Formats: sequence, structure tokens, C-alpha cells
Amino acid sequence: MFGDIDRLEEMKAKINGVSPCFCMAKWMHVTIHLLTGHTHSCYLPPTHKIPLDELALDPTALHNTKYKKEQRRKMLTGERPAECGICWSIEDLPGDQVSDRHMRAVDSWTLPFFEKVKGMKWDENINPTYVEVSFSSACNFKCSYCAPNVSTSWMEEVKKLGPYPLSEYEHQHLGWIRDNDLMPLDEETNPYIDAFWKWWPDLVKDLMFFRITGGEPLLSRHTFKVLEWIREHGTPNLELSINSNLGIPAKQFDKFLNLIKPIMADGQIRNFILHTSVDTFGSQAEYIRNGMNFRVFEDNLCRYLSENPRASVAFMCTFNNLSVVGFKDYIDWVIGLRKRFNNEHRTVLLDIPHLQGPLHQSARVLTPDYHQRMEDLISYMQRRADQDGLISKAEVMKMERILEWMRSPMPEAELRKGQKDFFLFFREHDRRRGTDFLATFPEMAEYWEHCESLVNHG
Amino acid sequence: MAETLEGREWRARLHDVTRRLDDISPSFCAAKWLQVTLHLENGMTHSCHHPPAHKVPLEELALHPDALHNTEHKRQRRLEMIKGIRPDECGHCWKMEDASQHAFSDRHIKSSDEWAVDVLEELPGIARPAPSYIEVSFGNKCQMRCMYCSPEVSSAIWDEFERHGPYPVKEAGFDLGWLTSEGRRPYAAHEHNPYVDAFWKWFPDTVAGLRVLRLTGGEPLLQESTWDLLHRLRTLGHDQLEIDVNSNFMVAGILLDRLADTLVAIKREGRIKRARLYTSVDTAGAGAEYVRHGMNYQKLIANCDRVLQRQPEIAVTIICTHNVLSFPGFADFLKDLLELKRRHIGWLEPVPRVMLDLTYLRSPSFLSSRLAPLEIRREMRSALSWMEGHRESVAAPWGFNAYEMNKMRRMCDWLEQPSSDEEEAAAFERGQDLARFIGEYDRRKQRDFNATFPTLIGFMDGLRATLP
Repeated sequence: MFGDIDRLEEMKAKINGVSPCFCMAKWMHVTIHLLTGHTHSCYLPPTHKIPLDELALDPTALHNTKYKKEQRRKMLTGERPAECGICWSIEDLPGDQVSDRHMRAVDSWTLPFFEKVKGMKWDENINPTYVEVSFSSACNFKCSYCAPNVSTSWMEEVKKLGPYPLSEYEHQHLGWIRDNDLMPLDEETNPYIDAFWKWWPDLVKDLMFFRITGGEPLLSRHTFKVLEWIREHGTPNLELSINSNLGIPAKQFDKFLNLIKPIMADGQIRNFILHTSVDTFGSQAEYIRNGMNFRVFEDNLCRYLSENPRASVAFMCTFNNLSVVGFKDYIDWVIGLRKRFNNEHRTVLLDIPHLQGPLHQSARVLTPDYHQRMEDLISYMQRRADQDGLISKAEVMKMERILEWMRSPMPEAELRKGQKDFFLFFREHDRRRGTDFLATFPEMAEYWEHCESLVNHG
Repeated sequence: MAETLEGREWRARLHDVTRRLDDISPSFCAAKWLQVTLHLENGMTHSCHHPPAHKVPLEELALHPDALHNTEHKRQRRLEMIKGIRPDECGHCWKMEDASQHAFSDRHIKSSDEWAVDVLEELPGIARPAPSYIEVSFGNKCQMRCMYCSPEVSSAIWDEFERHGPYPVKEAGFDLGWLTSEGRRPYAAHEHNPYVDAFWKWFPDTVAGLRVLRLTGGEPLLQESTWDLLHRLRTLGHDQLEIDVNSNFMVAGILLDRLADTLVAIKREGRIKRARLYTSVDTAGAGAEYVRHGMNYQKLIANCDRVLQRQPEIAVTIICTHNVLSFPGFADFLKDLLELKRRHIGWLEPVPRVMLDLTYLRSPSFLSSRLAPLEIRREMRSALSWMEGHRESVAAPWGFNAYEMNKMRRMCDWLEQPSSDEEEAAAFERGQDLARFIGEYDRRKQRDFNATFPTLIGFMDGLRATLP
């Protein structure tokens, strides 16, 4: 999904020539949460609901909603859609700023289509080239920072035991999820999924990138339907990505491997990337991602990489406050995998976005002594980058940015709230789930004690 | 000075055990059968701390997890012992026994211990004994970088060596390359460790006959396996089992609370006989903090108070590994210790709640107390006199007991022994190693030897002057 940076200035001028508010992503990109019927183009604007009456007339309403067309109209006529405020705030800063709007113009899935989009009317339908879908919230994990609307295991727990009582609110309250229309639909009777399959034969013709998220995609029959369709028809220009927690039952994982292996071997897709989330190493990773068995995870991963020498894996490390103390082991583990599995066709990828919410799991609510730990980590990663290149400069830079962000000032009340909620959340987590924070994170005992004292003494 | 009753009883017991050992063979030692230290982080093992540790071969481990204790190497040494041959690796005891025919060596002392003494005569007939004393470390994770510790035992030191390289000393062990070539590199967290797997397989079969289980490290309280083991003891333990846990006491107080609470709970469930915590401090104040980098002396004393106040059934032993930097501040250390003993007197307990275990550093040899000039070494006599003046009594039952006094007397004797030829020959090189080591230690840890040990400046300047 990386763009042609050399053409950035040229394309900036071109899109601004259409209108200073024009963005290719509004046409060429879509994320469709089929499980709730929400959509957005580009990750930055909030999602909006897809009206069922529009869908009944045309399945491409999964992407081309009237609402989105209205935003396109604004873009073509020089009016800034309010939902795209993050880009506007960047572009309004002094100097020559580069926003995501600019970056999206040089992506491989937008750049060849500039003239086509430029010439379209605002209310015309279009098939996107980059599509991300989630079919179902079925998931056997209850990751600490996840939510009931995207994990059936979480939903089951909250239905049984209620929300987590934190200092000022009830976390994971189903009322909030209902009020925001985020309750997942039944996979078997979901009209959005029906519409997706109606659209798919036409959609796939122009599709360049297709990513399936969840829930746990490998627990959804629709994921396998996609794979079986590709096996039958072939989509040689498509880069397919599937997220997986790699902790699904062996039978299900075998089924996935048995499909992806011949698809890869016969060149029926251009590329395949398995995205998987893991935020630190070993039992600490298991704690963050409740349901994970690290050994099973690793075995499944190695099996996938061994059996598919051209297929890639991308780790999504959502860096949070439980990632810090075990991160050196995590880096060593990634380096070990890179030594073993990197080849001329693939690199074991590591993306390190930092967790923004819930606040109590953010690395920003850690105490300043963790900044020194981060410095040590960065220095270690830098040494490894210099030593054998198995850690990239970009990964080091990402960690430096996270540290900078961790150090940035935060209102005292918000910080205290985050720290109190850290203790309240994980104490309840241990009680409900039979986990043991202090045994798993003994290095964080002082922090735990600090957060506990805030709860007990204000 | 007249020998105490405990001293006479102890001596009589040792005489009896010596006779029983000699009846088996003149080189027999129960520790080789019944005691094991397991460094699971790198697969090294030994029975008794004197012989060097050897690697447990993985092929032996694959056949049976009890190879953690019954390695072929150890079985051969046992065979030698049964035949009356002295294993070379046990030279420490042979040296002591050869020095005086009336001397008791650790072979006698260990064989007379409770975990051994009742079964001495049965041991030669047991091919693959289960130990009654296990000391185990699950990993080298530790946040401290004590001066005499090693990268294989502290992950923080390992990281320091990765960043700064080895110390510029001639003695082996201060170099990651050497440790790796000797098979002593700890398994990294992401590497599968077959020794830990074998331990968990073996432990349930072993625990019934176990009398002492000691957890060491690294820092055991930072090891998840420590908590796992304690959890398992709630079903596997028994009322004959003593559990000892080492800790640097520099972890969060909440972890010490938890440890003390857990041990007492297990004891009340009848799954252990008693529990004792062990922590290390080698002198007082800033000197102690210099030696054990990462320590806060006042916090250590406060944490001792914390666990002793929290759980009256818990006892604490302070291990003092006397080294060349222990001399300044040692008197203050004894005073602080006595105060601690006084504050936590267990009126109804048969053993003191706070104990001093005084031992002396052997490795690395350039940090040995023997390197100090004789006039400094002799200063320990005044500390001994002070201890004599604060012996336990009816009026002051917290005072120093016979065990502690004996250890201190032995220490003073050892410090004042004339140098052997070997020691004499090595002294110059060891002195140079010490000077180089301290220079580098100050540099990479931002410490200041002269400011911390003003009374040792002359001694250290003398050593520095020998450097080229």
C-alpha cells in the first residue's frame, strides 16, 4: 500500500488542481463493516451507516452511499467535508504540509485512476480498488483493548458479567454500543453481506487490494468463500490480506492453509499478506490478548511461513502500556523470525502503531521511569539495526516517535484517571478471567502499586 | 573462650556423621546424591556449590528429565566417591580436610544436615536418587548489577556487557564470548528452553521426597515461574518441605507482600513446613549500594521490616558475601542488623526470625577480601568483639547466636591466614584486575569509588600504581 513518493509534489498539484479539498480515497478506498453496516473511505473520518433502502436498490451502496456522494460533491466543488478534519488541520499548519489526502494521491491503487475520477460526476457510482471488509464479530479472543462489538467472546462476557466499572464510567457498556448502532448483526441473515456477494463478481474486476478483518476472519465462512472463489476464478492482480489471531482451532487453520497454499503456488493472486496482532512477547502477550496461547500462535505462524515461501506476514503491534517491559524479548523474537523466514520474496513486517484508546492502556499513562526503559529499548533496537539490519531504521524511528508522544504533557486529571482505570480495569480483568497481573508483569508491580494508591487515596 | 552447649552438640553430631561417612568411604558426600542446584536458564548443574557447575547434556535429558540431577558426569563422581576416590571437582573439601585431620569440611557439614543425615547408608545403593534439596533458578532476569555478579546470573549485567563489552580483567567470566563458548549463555525468552520443560515434568515426581526447595535467580520475584511453582505447591507440597526464597528485596513492596502472604497461606494449608526469605547485603549504606548496583540500603532495611511485620511466620536471612569492599561500613552493618533482629524478635519461635549468614566471596578472585592489606583484614576482629558483646542472652534474645558467631570467627581466622604460595603468586595480577575493574565499574555505572570508600583510597591507589 506504499505510494510513489517521488511523484508526491506532482500529484499534490494535480489533485489541488481539481479542488483544494479533493481526495482520491473518497472514491477508491472503502472500509465496510459488514457486521454492523457501517462504512467509511479512508480510516480518518468516522464511519456512517449504510441505509438499507439504498442497498436494496444497488449493492454498490456499500461504498457509494448518498452520504458519501455528498462528501464527494463537496470535494469536487472546493468545500471541505467536515468529517475529513484531520487532514484540514494538518494542511492549515504553517509551511508546506503533507496530509493523508496528499499521500493517498500517490498510492498504487489511486495514482493510475486520477484522470478517470477527475472526469466523473459527483453522484456516479464507482468500484474502489482498495477494499477492507469485516464479515463477522465471531472471535475466540477477548483482547484487553478490544470491544464486545468486534468480539463475540467479549460480548458473551459482558452480557454475563456486565461492564467494567472504572473511575468515572462503565467500560464496555452494551447500552453505549446499542446507542451507537454498533451491535453486530447475525452473520447468516445480514443484508450487508448479501449485498457484498451480489457486488463481488463486479467489484473484484477492478480490485487491487482486498483485506478481510473481523472479529477473527478465519472463523467466518465468508472468508473461506472468498478464498474458494479466488481458487476457482483466479484474481492475479489482487493483493489479498487477511487478519488472523492465529489461535483458531487446528481444523480451521488447516482449511485455511489448504486453500492459500495452491492459490499462492498457482499465482492466483499477486500477493498474500497475513496480518496478525501481537503486542509483546510470551505470557505477557497472552495476557494482553486473552485467549492467545503464544506457543500455538508461534507454531501456526511458522507453519504458514514454512509452507508458503512467498507469502508474507505483517505483525501489528499495537504498542500499549503492557508492551514496554517485555519489548526487548519481542524484538529478539522478531529478529529470530526474520533470520529464519526473510527471503527474496518477503520480509517479516512489523508495524508499531501506538494504542490511543482506551486511555488506561495507553503508554502515555505510564510513569516517567518508563521513559528510561523506552530509551534503553530504542538504543538496543538501534544497535541491532546497525549490527545486521534486521531491525529497520523506520522501526527505530517509530519507537522514537512513541517515546516523544509518551513524554508530551498530559492534563494531570486525565493522567490520574488513566492510571486509576488501569488498576480498576486489570483488577477486574484478573477477577473475571483468572489472570494474574502481578505474576505476569512483576516488573510493573511498582506502577500497579502507584495506580492502586490513586484509587485508594485519591 | 569456652565452647557453648550448641557448639558441643554440633561438634558431636559432626563426629558421628564423619564416622558414618568413613564407614561408607573416606570420600563419600551425601550432597552428591541428595543436593542439586539447577541453573535452568542455561542448563548448568552441580551438587553442592563448591564443584564447578557442568552442563546437563540434552541427549540425557531427552531420555529422562531426572538427568537434571543424575547426569552421567555426576554418576561417575558418585562412583568415585563410593570407591573412596576423591573427585577432583570437590577440591575445596579435600583442601580443608588435608589441612587438619580434625577439621570438618562442608562434606561433613552437608551430610549432617536434616535433608541428608537419616539416609546416608542407603545412598550408595541408589542409582538415580531423587534429591532432597533442590536449589533452582528459572532465569537470569534481574534488575540489579551487583559488582561480583555475572551476566549469566543477571540479565541487566548481560545487557550492560552487550552495550559496553567485557571488563578489562584477566580473570575468565567477564566476557560474553567466553560464557557463550562455555555453554553458559542463558536461553533468550524467545528460545525454547528444554531444561525448564524437563523441570516441570520432573518436579511432581520429586517433590514427595523433597525437604528443602530454594528459589534463586536472577531475581526470583521477577520470574513468572516462581509464582507458578508456588501455585503448584498448594497441591504438591507437604509438611516436611522447607522453602527458601532468595530476593534482592529491591522489587516493589507489593511483590514482597504477595510472596510473604502466599508462603504463609501455603504453610497454613500444611503444604510446607516453614518458609524463609534470603536477601543479600555486604556492608552498610553507600558502600553496600556501590557493591550491589541498583540497591537502596534504606529501602532494603525497610522492606525487611515490611515483610517481617506483615507476616510473623516469615523469617529473613541476610546473606553477607564478604568481599574486599565490605570492610568499611561493616560495623554499621552489624549495628543495623542487630536492630533489625531486635525489632523482630520471635518470642515463641525456635529459630531467630532475622539471621545473619556470613560467607566470603571466592569468585571473582580479584574481589576477594583476602586482597585487602592485612591491617585492614584485622579490623574484622573488632567487629567480632562487638558481636561477642551483643550475643544472644535471656535479656537480649535477639543477639547474635552461636551459628552467627561461629561464622564470624571462621571469617576472621580465614582473613588472617598466611597467604599460600598460590595466593602469593596470583596477588599482583588480582590487584591489577581489581584496579582495572573498579576504574571501568565507575565509568560505566557513573560511580565514584574514592568518594564512596575514602578509607580504601590508599589501598586502591597502590594497586592503580601497578598498572602499566
